[in-house]
Amino acid sequence: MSESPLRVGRVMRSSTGEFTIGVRLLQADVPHFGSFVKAPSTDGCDVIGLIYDVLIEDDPFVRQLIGADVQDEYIRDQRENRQVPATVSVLVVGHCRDGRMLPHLPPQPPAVLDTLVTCTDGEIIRFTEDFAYFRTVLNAPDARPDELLAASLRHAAEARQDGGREFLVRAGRELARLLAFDAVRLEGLLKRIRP
Amino acid sequence: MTLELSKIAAQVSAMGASAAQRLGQRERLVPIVRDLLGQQATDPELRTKIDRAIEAGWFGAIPAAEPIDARYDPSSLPARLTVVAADGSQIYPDRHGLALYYVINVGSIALRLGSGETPRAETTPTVCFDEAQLFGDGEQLVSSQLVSARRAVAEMTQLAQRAIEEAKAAPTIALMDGSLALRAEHETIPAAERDRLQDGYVARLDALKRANVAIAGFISRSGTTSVTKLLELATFPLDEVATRAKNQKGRPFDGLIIDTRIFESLLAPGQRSAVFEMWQGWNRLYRKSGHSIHLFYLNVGAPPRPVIARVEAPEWVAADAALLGLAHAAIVEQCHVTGIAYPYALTRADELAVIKTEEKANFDRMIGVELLRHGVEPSPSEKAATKAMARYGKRR
Repeated sequence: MSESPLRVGRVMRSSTGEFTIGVRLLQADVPHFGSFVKAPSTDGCDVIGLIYDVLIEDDPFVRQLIGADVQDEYIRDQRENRQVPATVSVLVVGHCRDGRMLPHLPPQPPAVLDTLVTCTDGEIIRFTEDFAYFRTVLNAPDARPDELLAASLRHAAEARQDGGREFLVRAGRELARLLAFDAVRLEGLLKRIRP
Repeated sequence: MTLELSKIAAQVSAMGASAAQRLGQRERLVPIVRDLLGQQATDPELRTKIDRAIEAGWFGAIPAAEPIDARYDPSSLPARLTVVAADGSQIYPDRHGLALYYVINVGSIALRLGSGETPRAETTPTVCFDEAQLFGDGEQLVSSQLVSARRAVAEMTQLAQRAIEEAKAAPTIALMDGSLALRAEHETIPAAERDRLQDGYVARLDALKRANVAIAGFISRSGTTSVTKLLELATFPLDEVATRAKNQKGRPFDGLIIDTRIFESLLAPGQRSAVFEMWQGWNRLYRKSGHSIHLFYLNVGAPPRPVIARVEAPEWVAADAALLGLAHAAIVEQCHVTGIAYPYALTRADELAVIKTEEKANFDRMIGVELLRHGVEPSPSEKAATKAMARYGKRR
């Protein structure tokens, strides 16, 4: 639950449909799988996306320390000082222009080094009133679509005052409509969002 | 044109055969030299031989206070210890580049072991572009040797500043990569500049001494033969020492046995050798100023593979059992962090200091933009431009 945006990191590369940001440190509250995030686009709107992957790569130095029994200071040095950013992948699901939430892709992606922040509860509630973004997620095979959609719905439910029960029931009905011909997939998704 | 491997295959084969032959000769000599070290430890004539050799102009390692075949285990480390390391890199001036400048980048790190704190890593980049830095008082562009000497002084300055600050809170060791001595003796370095650099360097050593910081230079895979030269003296009859000490021909071990090879089979993991003093021309400056460079060999490997490093320290560290013990134990601990037998802090200082090719390219782009902003059309020399073409996807 967040009333104010949290800074996640800066955009490293971007395209219309997805973008990648770099973060120096993983913190307890960011980045979270399935979180709603936003970054400014060069044409003035805010690009809305869902975090679908967090990748922490190794390097030869880290590999040498994997099996070593070393003091905490060395681990902190590697985690906090070395410039090996974790990369966070974001699937674009819509944008916000002049205060209006639009569940389709923005005209332009965010620019390199733009700052990515988490959406506030109010923004998440307004964006998820329209379920049109479900299709974007379900049709993104590389983004673990079922897990991602379920996680985003749980976040959206948490953002609501009443715990989002009624919201989840509505979302479940929409999923039943979209996946009417794939009962197995639908069942898996409904299990993941069951209140 | 490229390096045609087919044309050098025969030479490579001959090189391999030669290396194998030298290895055979060397292996036969190792036990002889090692035994000699033990025999000479108690020989009263050795000191006389050294004195006579020095009079004749000999250079090598001379025993300090410990028996020359002594071996010492590392002591235990204090619960709180700070390891500070600094290293540097540079971009040399290039007449064919967009602009005339050079860069010195010093990286340093302070590891407060036992504190639970995140180590403090720093970099200090300096761009040198004014006339005085590039040309001094003359017309000759600053040489690469002079840039390297200035970088070495910058490293020592950063190391000393940080280590002295850290020593207020905990026992501190300051580590450098390579020899502890500044090498500023070169024909391209004007005498006044050399003296200024040396004075600055020695002043930092003075400050470290006052702060009781154990400073050491760590030399990996040293190829020096200082102790071998000492053992050669031992094989000469006393009345022939003066004549044979300087005679390059007929020297039994030099050129075949490097010091580290002698100690490979003598030192157990973690053990150090006796301390020796460097009797070298370049050490006169340090001897005169109370920082005579001493050395010991140290097995920083783990069984079954010995890895012998050479460690240099000034005389006041070598003569102080507490500081020497701290340097010895801290270096062993540092070398075991990654399992690569090289101090962790130095690896990090190097990583912080190094200027990568892409960083240099980005820096050049920044210079180009700045030149344009000031109305100057940036252009590399014709030579640089053609080299860039020739090296882009090399073809025969």
